[in-house]
Amino acid sequence: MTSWRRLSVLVAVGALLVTACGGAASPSPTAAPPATAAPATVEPPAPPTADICTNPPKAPAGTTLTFASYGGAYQEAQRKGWLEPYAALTGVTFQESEDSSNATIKAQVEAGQVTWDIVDVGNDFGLDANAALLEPLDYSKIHQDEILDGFAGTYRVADITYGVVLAYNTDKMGGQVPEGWADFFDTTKFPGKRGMWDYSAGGIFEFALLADGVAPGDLYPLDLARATKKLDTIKEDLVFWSSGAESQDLIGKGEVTMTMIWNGRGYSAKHIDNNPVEIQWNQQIVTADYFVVPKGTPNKDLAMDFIAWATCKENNAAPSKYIPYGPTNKLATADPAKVADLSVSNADANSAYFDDAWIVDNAQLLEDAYQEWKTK
Amino acid sequence: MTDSWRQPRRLLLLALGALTVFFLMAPTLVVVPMSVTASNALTFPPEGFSTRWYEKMLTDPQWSSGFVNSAQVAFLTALLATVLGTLAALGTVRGRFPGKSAVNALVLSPLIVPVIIIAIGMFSLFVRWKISGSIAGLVLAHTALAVPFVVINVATSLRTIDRNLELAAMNLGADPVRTFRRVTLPLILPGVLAGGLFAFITSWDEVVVSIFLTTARFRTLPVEMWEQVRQVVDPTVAAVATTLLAVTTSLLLLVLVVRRQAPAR
Amino acid sequence: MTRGSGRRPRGGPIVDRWALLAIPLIAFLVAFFLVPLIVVSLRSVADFPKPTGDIFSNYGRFFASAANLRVLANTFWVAALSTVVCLALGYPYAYLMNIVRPRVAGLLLIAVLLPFWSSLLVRTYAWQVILRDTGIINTFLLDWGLITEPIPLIRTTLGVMLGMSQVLLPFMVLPIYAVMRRIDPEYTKAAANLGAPPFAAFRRVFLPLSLPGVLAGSLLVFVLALGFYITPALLGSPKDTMISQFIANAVQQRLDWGIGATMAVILMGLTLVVLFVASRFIRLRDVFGSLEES
Repeated sequence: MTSWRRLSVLVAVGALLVTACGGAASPSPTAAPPATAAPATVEPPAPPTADICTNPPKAPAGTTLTFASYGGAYQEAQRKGWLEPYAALTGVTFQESEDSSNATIKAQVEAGQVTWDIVDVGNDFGLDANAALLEPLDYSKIHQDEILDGFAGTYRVADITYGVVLAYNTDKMGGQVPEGWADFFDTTKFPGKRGMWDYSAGGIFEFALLADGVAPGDLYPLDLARATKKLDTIKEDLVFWSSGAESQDLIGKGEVTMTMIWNGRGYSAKHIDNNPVEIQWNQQIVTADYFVVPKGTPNKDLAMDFIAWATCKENNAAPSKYIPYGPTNKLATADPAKVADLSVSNADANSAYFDDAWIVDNAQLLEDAYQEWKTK
Repeated sequence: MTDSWRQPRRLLLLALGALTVFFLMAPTLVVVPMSVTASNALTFPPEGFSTRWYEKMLTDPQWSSGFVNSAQVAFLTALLATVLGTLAALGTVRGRFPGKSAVNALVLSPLIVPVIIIAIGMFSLFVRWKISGSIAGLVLAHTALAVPFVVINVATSLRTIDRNLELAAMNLGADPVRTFRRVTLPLILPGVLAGGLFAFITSWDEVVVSIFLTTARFRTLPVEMWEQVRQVVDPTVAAVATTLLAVTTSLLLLVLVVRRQAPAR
Repeated sequence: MTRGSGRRPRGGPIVDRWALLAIPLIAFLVAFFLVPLIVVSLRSVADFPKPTGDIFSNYGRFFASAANLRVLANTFWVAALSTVVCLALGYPYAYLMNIVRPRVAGLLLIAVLLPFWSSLLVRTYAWQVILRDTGIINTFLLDWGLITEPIPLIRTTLGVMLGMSQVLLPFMVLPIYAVMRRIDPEYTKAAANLGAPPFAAFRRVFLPLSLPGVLAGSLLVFVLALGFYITPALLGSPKDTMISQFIANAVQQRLDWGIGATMAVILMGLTLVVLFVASRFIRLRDVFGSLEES
């Protein structure tokens, strides 16, 4: 492994010199996570085989790759944007699973029965804590330098960015517009119920802290005592949702007047369900979903080829044609019709970022504090 | 007893009974009108009338494959549970052996143990045995859950039939096997069929264990509903729910008819 | 020649041929039901998030968290409430079934069984549509001006009670009905003939005779209620969380099989304790035997 490393360093230096002159002129996402969200690897980028983005290697006949994601419109966008074009280019057949779950990856790897090749996972998975369950990604193929800073790790690379935002039902706002999370917690100015994702690591504590005046850069380590104290002020008005459809339904019907929501669902509530829902981008949390490869999958190399291809600047933004979720490649161009609705387009100094490493290392603490507060 | 007190009390009782029936049935029946709404949203009362959600259910490959899978699993479960359960009922009612109460407890325990515990246990083990996500794994799991109903039904039948008929057959020269086949079995058949129908219904509607033991490639209807409700809330779900309800109700009515044929003592 | 036990007739085998028929099912249940439960129990002392020498560390973790204890207590509380609600509705219902014509009794039986066998999701979703702030009941009351703001019906203990009772009612009705059917009407008639006013005849003759059914039904409902999980999750508030939800959450969200298995063992253990204590007062045979009446 060491000689391979030395070789790649040499080639990397060479590549950097070559690419130093060429610069992409296309608009790139401006998101810049703080230093605390450090990537798990310090390996300098190796030059990818230049062809993989436009001409990925043909797969042996009859190859099937299993792609697991979260189903619904999200997976449909990934299918149309990535799976179908890639299948056409390489001859690979894709089997899909719509119930991506960390528990299943764990069960498969532990039983030695790995059937998933590429898995789309949330921001709370794929860090070093899960090293035993995952294959290290092949950065000789993936253009790591083009990925947004902090969104590429040893075992995972971000494939799609999205925002956890505040959505409000315009019919229930009494003519006013909530400016941020402080207004979310103000039930005097904005009466009504509030929706929150029923998940300790989903952002509930972060939003409480932001509402309480904490700067985005100072969120971690989370001051849980302060957050729960803030949450207690609206506890009686909280409605917990556990699925995207539920959040979309709750805000669309006005069952809650404001909710924490994934921006894609907020978009759908407005444009597909035609409900009076708007998104407040101020103080959003910009996050991403990641591709991982479970350890022991028989199609490891082919999985790596696909991941490299899907994160290339030419291909990465394809799903944005179908869903308002953004690319993770800095040089990729999103669909013009959707650019305004992307989380990364609306990111600014007030945007916050998850410290995935802290969240994973303190998962037990978070979960205990959450359940403790929730059931009181 | 004078009639004067009887009337108001009886009326009160009837009223309470009617209210209870309403409480039992109304919430479930609410989905029926919702399934024929013309609008895109799940609302009550429904807006307009349209059968397109039923069309969507029948043409959408995910729903129709879920339907087929559910039917297959339920049928096989009913078969396996009926065979195992009938044999066991015969063994425990007619047989003599020590520890019978322990066996009875074992047979009935799938009803008592919280289903989430059964689900995680089976998931954990079936993944290791490589039968998770397969029709076999699901049938085995559902059979374990359904078999208590078969045993209860067949055991009741056995206890209520007239043993003199069997004795008469044996006195006339029939050996035990022949007696069983020609006399006992026809007499307990209503109980066996009722048990089989209950087993079918149990598998048909089972959701918790199925969530753990199915995959996107192989799903039953209730699990499909569960997933769909998490993705998109549209009236197709109500159409599926109504269909599930219709099947279950018909089967329950069938059970009532079958049991009525039972020659009781 | 008989042996000491006296349970068998003279010269009979301990295990006769009929008994062998039970073996396939016993083997089946041991393999596919009992073994999974044992494996889960073992994981509570074998699966740890971080390696540790203390095999009971999961149990330590469980009892150290106030949330866990609160949820455990709530589980028993909700189960007790359900039992009371089911008793209040179920006793009159069983009595009604007892005095009407057999055909009507049959229909009443179907009405009470149907919710149990309709899909869990159908039922719970239907309750959501009825109870939520923008749901049927609230919309009706608001439209008719009877209230100015939606009444909280969902995400309350009331909501959970409604959802659970709808399913648990048959388990109260059937045992009570089974016992009531066997009560000889001559007894109440005799009391009336001896001069007792009608309600007293009921209270002092019929009611005590129906008590075994009441106890059997209550036990069954209580034990079943302990294991509920989807209904309280969808219809209740966080305060109404029941332990099965925690078990599901531990395994699916937290990937912490150790604590999930621990909670499973504790729940099963407490259920057995309840059954054991109850067996001092009720013949467990009655409880399960009454299910045959369906």
